[in-house]
Amino acid sequence: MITFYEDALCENCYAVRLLLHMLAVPYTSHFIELYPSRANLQPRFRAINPLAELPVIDDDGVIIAGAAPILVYLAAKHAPGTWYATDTPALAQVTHFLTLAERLSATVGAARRHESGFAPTDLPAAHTGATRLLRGLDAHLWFAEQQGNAWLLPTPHPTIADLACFPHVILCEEGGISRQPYPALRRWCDRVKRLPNFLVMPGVFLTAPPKTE
Amino acid sequence: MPDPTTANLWHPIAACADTPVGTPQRTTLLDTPITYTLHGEGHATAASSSMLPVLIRYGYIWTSLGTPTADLFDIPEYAEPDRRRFNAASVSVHVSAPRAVENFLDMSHFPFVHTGILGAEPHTEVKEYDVETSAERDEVLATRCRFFQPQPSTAADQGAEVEYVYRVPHPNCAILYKSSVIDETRRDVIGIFVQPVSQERVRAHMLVCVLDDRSDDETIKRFQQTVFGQDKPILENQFPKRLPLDPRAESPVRADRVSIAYRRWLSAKGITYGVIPAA
Amino acid sequence: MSAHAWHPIAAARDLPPRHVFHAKLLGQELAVWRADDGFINVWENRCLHRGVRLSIGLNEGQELKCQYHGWRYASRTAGCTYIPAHPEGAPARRIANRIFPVIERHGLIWSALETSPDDLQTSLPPDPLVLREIAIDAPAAIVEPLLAAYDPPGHGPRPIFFIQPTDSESCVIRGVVPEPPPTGALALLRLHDAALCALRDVAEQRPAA
Repeated sequence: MITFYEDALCENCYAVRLLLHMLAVPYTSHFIELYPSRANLQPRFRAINPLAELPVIDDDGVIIAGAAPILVYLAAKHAPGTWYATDTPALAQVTHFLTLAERLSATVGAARRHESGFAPTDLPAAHTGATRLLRGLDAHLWFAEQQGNAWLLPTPHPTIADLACFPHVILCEEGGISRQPYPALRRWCDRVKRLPNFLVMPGVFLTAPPKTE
Repeated sequence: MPDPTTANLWHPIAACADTPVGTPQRTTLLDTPITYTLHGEGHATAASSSMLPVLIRYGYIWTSLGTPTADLFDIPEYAEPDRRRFNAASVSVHVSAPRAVENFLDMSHFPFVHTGILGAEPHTEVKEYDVETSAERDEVLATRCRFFQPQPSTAADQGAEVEYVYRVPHPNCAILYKSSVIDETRRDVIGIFVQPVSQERVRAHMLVCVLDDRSDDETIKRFQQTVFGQDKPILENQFPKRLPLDPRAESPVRADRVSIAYRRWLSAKGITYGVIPAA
Repeated sequence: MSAHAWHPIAAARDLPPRHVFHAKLLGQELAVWRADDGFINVWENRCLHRGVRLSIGLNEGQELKCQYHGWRYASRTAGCTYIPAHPEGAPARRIANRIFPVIERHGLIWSALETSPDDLQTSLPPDPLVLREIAIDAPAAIVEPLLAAYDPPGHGPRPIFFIQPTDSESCVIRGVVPEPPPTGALALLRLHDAALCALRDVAEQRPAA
């Protein structure tokens, strides 16, 4: 059984929680409060992850820390042909978006942590970086739609690339970054929300069910 | 400049349990930067350009930019020894303090915003409840508030119709009394103490003072932070961010009688900070 | 920049079923949604009850549902049809959201802030190639001369451009190619997109006069 160390309000934990639910992998949750008590800095959590960061999973002794490595671990183990890529170009594309998600966390996520009072940051720099990345992602998805693709990769099934980027995009307004200039991103968010076993977190609303013919 | 009523209030600025002892901390209150230090033995100091009055109450540090004309409101249940009492969350929200308080007083959003926890469709009806504004105690009180909740608290196994009492003893603080699932003769107490950072930004501190002998602190915190985290994006998508006090400004219905009374009470107090005063 | 004039506020493709598009025109926020019968609603982006943006609400096909208290508003009239806190009573008839005029034409959605301007006059064909919209953090007045000097990449046909003034500090370029070549549409879209993104960089570096 997987033990999942998480905080209910952490967007990187949300990416992992989404995949666990979509794969229907059972787990027990262990709440580590990042703010205001900063339980992640306590010795008992540092013993599990010396970086004192969330998320972490412990899969019967295999300890993996960080959203991207955990997503890779879970998807490669449980759903290699769908949620995780196996062919060469797709593997590189997935890696591209996992890296992009880290950059979103350092800009969009930093703005959110700043506005939430969790951690101060250089807000104008975070917003400038965020705008650049969100514009690029919005353009990518607009052209994907033009070619009949719904997801970040040109595959019929979504991948961990989508789940890695989604939390940052859907929570960006908590960092004072409007999603209004990014219509393709807003439509993609609706599509992610309509995936089977989708789960909200605080700050995320459901969308309407799809039109049935 | 805040209005005199607001300036002379006690305002919460931090939870003691989340404040390192002996190290100066910074925060902002009513657009004013404040430095405060929690010393040992339940004593704290605070200053802006000059020293400020300080009070430690209910696990929080309170201060004032003016001269407080009254003592802080009383919560007798806080002294009961068998209760779990702690700060469950301190959340920053881009909204005015009165909007945050009004949301706390609102039951009709439970099925839509706290789906599966504090409410669920089709149980959406807000039944008649009583509202009074007491001149003697200077507070707004809503009683006989009843609502069906799928998971009323961390101590609950199943859904139940719960009864609430809402009390607003301070323009930016509200207290909720909720029937306990552990002891039907007593009530859980949850307080929201809003720190107005500016007219349109707040830090909302949430006090729990509950009867729950089986959940650990982390579980209770997670529950309250989830609920609060669900309110945050609603509040941040509300316009205008300041609360309009003109009764014709928005479209209240019968379920909003407590909010109507709250807005009227703020008007009568002459509050202008964080609101759009009635013409 | 008249409130009485028609302005493009979205592309037709921006309004898939069950989606709520978040638009802005001359500082006015709009919730734009296509009902299941195809009707396009352009509404003020505020629930009448407690002021929450309707663009975070749910497009349920014939009604838009607010996220805060579940109030429902009907397509076409924007009248409130249901208040869940009081399921027995019908909502007061006066509770209706503000609606704006709308035309779907040339692959774009057009609206105006003041009601009933004259009919939209353009000489465009019905189904041109619609470029990706380019949102710019610079006023329309800065963007206009740059667009006038726009040099189409390659030797393709020149697009027709419209500038949607979102507010006094920002705008959106919406371009259409009236008679696109029979093949290579995607490559053409990419060429213009790259050129317009470069134009945006220039516009955003210019200090507003």
